[in-house]
Amino acid sequence: MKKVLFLSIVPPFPNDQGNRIVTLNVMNYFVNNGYFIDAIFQCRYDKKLFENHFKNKVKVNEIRNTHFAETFDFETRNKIKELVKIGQFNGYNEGIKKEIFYAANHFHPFAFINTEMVEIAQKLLSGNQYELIICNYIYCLRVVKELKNMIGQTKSMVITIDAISRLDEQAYKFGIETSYRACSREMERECLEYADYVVAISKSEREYFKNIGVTRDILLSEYNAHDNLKDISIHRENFYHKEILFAASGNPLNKKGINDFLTRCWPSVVSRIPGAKLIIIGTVSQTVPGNYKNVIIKGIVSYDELVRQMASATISINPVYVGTGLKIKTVEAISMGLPSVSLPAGIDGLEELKDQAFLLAEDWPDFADKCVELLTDYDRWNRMRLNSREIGERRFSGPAVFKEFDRILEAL
Amino acid sequence: MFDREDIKFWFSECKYLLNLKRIKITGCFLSKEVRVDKISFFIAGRRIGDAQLSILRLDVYRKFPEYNEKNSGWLLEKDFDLQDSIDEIEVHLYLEGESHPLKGKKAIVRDSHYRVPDAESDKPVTMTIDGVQYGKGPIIPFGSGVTKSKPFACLVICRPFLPDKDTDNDEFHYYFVDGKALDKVSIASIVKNYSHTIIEKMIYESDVSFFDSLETICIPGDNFIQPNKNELSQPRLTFLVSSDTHAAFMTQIASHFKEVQYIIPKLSCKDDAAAEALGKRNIKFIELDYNARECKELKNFAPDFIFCGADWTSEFFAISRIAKKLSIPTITLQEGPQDWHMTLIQPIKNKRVLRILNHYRNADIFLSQGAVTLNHIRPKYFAVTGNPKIGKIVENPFPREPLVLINCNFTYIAAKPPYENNREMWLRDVISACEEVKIKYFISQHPRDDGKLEYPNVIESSASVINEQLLKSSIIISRFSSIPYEALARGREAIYYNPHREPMLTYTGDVYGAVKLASNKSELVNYLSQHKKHMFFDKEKAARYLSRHCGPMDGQAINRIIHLFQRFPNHSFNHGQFIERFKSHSFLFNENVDSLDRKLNIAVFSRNTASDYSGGRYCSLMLAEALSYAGHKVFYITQNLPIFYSNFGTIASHQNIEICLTIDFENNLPVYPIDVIFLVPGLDKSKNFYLNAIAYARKNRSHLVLLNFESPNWFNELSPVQRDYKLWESWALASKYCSLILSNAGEGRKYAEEYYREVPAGARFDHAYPSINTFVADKGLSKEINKEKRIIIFARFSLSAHKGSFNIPDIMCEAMRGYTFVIMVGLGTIPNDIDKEIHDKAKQLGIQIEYKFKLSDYEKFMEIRKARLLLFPSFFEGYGYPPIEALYLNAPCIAFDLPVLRETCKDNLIFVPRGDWSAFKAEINQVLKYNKTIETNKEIRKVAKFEEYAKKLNTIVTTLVERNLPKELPGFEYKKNFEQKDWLKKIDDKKEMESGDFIKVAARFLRNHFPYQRYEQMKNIYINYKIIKSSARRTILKFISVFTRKRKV
Repeated sequence: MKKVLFLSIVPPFPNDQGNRIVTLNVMNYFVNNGYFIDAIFQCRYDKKLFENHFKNKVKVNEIRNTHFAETFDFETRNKIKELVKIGQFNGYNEGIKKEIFYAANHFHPFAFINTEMVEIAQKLLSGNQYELIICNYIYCLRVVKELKNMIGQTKSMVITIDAISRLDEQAYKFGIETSYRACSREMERECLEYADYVVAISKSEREYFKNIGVTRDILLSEYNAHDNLKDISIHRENFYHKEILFAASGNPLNKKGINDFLTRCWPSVVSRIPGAKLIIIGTVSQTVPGNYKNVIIKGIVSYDELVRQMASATISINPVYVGTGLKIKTVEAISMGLPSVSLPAGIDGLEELKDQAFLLAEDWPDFADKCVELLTDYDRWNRMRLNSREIGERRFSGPAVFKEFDRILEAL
Repeated sequence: MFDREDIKFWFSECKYLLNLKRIKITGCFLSKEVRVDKISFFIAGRRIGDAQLSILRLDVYRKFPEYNEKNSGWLLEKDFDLQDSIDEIEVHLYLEGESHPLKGKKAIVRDSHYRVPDAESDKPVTMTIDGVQYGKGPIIPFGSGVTKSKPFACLVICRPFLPDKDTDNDEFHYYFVDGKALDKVSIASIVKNYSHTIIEKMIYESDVSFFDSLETICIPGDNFIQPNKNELSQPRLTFLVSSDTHAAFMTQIASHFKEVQYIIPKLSCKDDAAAEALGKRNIKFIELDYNARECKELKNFAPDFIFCGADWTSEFFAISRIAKKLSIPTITLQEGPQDWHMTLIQPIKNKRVLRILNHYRNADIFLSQGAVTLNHIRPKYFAVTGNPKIGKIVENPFPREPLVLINCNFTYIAAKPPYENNREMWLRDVISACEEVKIKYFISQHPRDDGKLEYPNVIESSASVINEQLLKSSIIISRFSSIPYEALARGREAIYYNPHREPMLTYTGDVYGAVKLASNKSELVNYLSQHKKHMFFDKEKAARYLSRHCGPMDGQAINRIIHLFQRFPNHSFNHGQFIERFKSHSFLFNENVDSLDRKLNIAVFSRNTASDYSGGRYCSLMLAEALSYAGHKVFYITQNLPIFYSNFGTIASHQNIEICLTIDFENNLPVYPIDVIFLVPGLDKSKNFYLNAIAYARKNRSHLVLLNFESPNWFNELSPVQRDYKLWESWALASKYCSLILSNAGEGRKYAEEYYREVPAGARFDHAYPSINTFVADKGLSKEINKEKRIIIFARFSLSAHKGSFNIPDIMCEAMRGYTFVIMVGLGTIPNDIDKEIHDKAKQLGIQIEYKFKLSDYEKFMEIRKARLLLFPSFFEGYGYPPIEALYLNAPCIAFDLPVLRETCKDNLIFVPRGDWSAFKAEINQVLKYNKTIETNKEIRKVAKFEEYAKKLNTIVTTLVERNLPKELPGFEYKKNFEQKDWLKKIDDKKEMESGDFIKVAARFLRNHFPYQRYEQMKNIYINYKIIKSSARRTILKFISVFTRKRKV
């Protein structure tokens, strides 16, 4: 019986966020390739959905999460960050202020992992033979480090999801709360070096890891959205719906993105195309401000409903101007053939698809212009619809995305 | 009033325009059975004509509905040359052929102000104001010192002289200054209240750049003052000494003059220790009876002028009466701040008499203590001398621990309700604030405050001990008094506490001054807590404040007065030369305002915050100003004096507007019969404001006009952010009782007609373009200014997603490199991320950023004047002032293409499609690249001009009062809106409510739903009986059940 050990701080279910979907897809890949999985989740998860989906292929050990925010260290660091924000260090140059802030914002990635995870892993390792140790997120590499002797020759792989040393900018520039997640480049490199394989989920992050000095084998595995969405397609008639879709979780970056879109872009769009509608789906809906004209807030919906909404939209948007990891929303739109408009951060790693599968906006006025263009120019929209569909099939299907995983498995 | 069983007959007003030599007398009569054939008028035996009959008088109709007569008025307006200053008017009333002469009515003709028959008459006469009888007895003449004949006020700054007939009769105001020691702070402040300022040559030349920079249209003149041949001759002075305080400073002044005389009120009339004080100094004095008609000693002494303190006392009127006959000018010195519009109904000889005190406008020359006073009154001749009691700031060390002096001076309860009878409430608030903060206090009771105070730490005050008390304290709390000034002068913080909303504009008009303003207990607690934490006196701020309010802080007030007195008789004004010099400036002399047949009493109901600007509130004051300008008596009813109030000081009629401060729009309302009420709504949920306005309209039988800024159907059609129709519920409610829905533009009116469907039958829809403040804008236009590389945008970040302000970083572009981008911030603060983005982009593009907050109109107009371009990227506007202001000041303006802007600005704006930021930026590029200039002032005048707005409003109101009241108005049932269920739900939702939570919720609830005094009463119940210990919900219910009742109107 082929087995892998899967360590994670995010669950695959409920699959309502990008990182959860990626987690689910990776687990699916191994199960579909005949592997049984012993999993340790340092998080809660939807047991019912999980069991219905994986049956007996996955055994889960659930451990309690670390209440990081309640620690003295965390509180002290927050106070320092607050001092920077309120101008306590005014007079220092920008570089020094940043350094102070970054230092306070950094945590060692392994500090977040509960010792219980190491202990359970130790037990599992002593009683099982695993072909691969998979760490979902860099933080879980603590187990690999501490149990190096037990692991021996067994290979380990880290699914990075995010390049966490890029989070500082979000926190400093946009005031996004990064909690325990950020660390320095040196720390990130040092931690990633504990793995045999480093999986980057976008081209740009693969480049980033190389640039910070990671010497391990860096694989690229994007999001296989096409597998889930191949049966859904955008019809020509959608053009006349004039529906703009934004589906996202309620993370701070999404919240800021949609708030800024509403205050700075939507007035322009809805004034120029009075029939245009904006549909907002997901937990991000909970913080959408005001009563904007023609904005329909759907809130949290099932995945099926989300897909239905996407299938009837005219375009989708990704108004996030800072972020890390793969742009799930953009990839899903491409896979369905749904033209979209995005800011540069929303297409990170997908740049070469610009103007084929999406329009790239430089700023908010340009974002509005691009939305108006796609909502009013049928030929442009239709061309993009057809291109996207083709790109989705070629690039975001399972075989394409897990091509390098296949190589690893063959080598095991 | 001629009142017999079958007929009632009134005089309403009698006025004489000296420059036109025209007399105008109005009145009315009511008769059910007797026919009035003719009313003839005789003055000094000469027949001057017959009155025109059947003039519309709705006020009389409302007062005496049983006569069912709307046209009871009569009017006589004739050119007639009155030879003497006092004449008897005889009226012959012809009743069905019989003549009934009404003798003994007198009218004083002294200047161009109208007069009702007054204290001059031998016998008390019946007092009526616009047909409403107030009783018998003397009445003080009414008139603010402003003629209605000129749209703007014009000032002459010159050396001092004594008035003569020529200057008395012109329409200029004279500000006497010492050419060798200019008080620049006062000059700069005072000229703001005048459109044009003529400056005597030698004064102007002493500092040309200073005068050219003033906020007025500055006109240099010649040297009109001619020193008399014998300039060193000593003047002869008479002092009217009313009290011991007067004696102290008057004797000090008198010691510098050889020939002086002292007059005091006859001791049987009044004894405020003047005799005793003079006696102590071995000074002889003359006693003057209140009813004296002559004074031999005064006549024989023949002083150059008479100097006095308060000029609204009986002794003043007695001496003034005699002085007029002898052609001796009177001079009054300001002794403290005043309620400049004080009118009161006073019991005199068992009759209720309406008194209008007209502080410091009864004497001929006014010596003001500081420039701020001149924001509120516009005397004919004045100087700023300072106040001898508050000469300079002397910093004294603080006591060891904080100690509050509570100045209790509710002194005129019998004479001056309603503000004087709030002692209990006022003191309770102040003491409980002190106790809450745990700060020690003592109450200093004014000698003429006769309240029996059952509080600890009460000590008596007097002129001799107040200084010691001030020094003992670390901070003072006072109501209307000069104590706050005295406290600052001694290095003590001062709080003016006004929960009862007395209309003391002197204090409330200076929002950010050294005297802190508190209008509720929590503000008071806040100030006291700060003080307790850190006893601090900001000397610089206090000095700036006092120099505005009390003149230069140099301790030279007495010397300035002496200097003036020495100059007065030795200077004369060459009026002929003056007229010759300015005759080409015809606008200075022309009479531009149409005289009205009838003056209406109009109330404007508007809510204002104490410290924020809003376009709607600005519009409400503009409306009040325009109606006042058109000659109507306007009452501006609000909870707080608008912070932009002083922007309108230039308008001649500004000071005629009576500000009525009220916390609940139910108390402190005008006692006059009101003809029209303008209801200025807001997007709030406080229905009581609307209900009180409707109830007041019903009570007065007055027409109600709803000012419709924007209806929800219009707003939601154009704005990218939608608003709940519920926000307009109260507007819709008020519309059911309105005679008129007045929009700001035709576009708004169109939507209003669609939205307000339940208006009374016969109610009309109309619109009037609110003007910009063109008097101040014209000052800006008069300055020689070159356009600079500046671009302006108006920004608002609160309730403003439709204003386009969040896109400011998006419109900054390469074309703006090298420019200064001026962001004028109205409501709300700039969000940090937007601010950062603006600065980052500015750095990247080489643009300078300047934020401007709460600019005065003049500062704003000067900014527009300097700017090359104004940006106005708003998605919706109910009217849109800034583009009109830009066009008036010839500044190009780029705006989104809104129908309302097309209507008001025609094609003079640079329009881009709504929401098209790329096109917006392209236009910025075009304007800046080609350095476009425009001359649009003339094109926009029809919309922008203040006079046009006044004219239109005048037509609207005069037409309105000719119509019947809506039938629905009398049927309005005044039931308080409790929104009880909502509130209880809120309380229920708070499952674990602490008593602190309850106080917050309950206080908000009760404040919103009950008059202030009732709220206080309930709060007291709570404090004393602790009845909410168990359940907040039950308590609220109890309050409501106890105090809810259907109110009778």
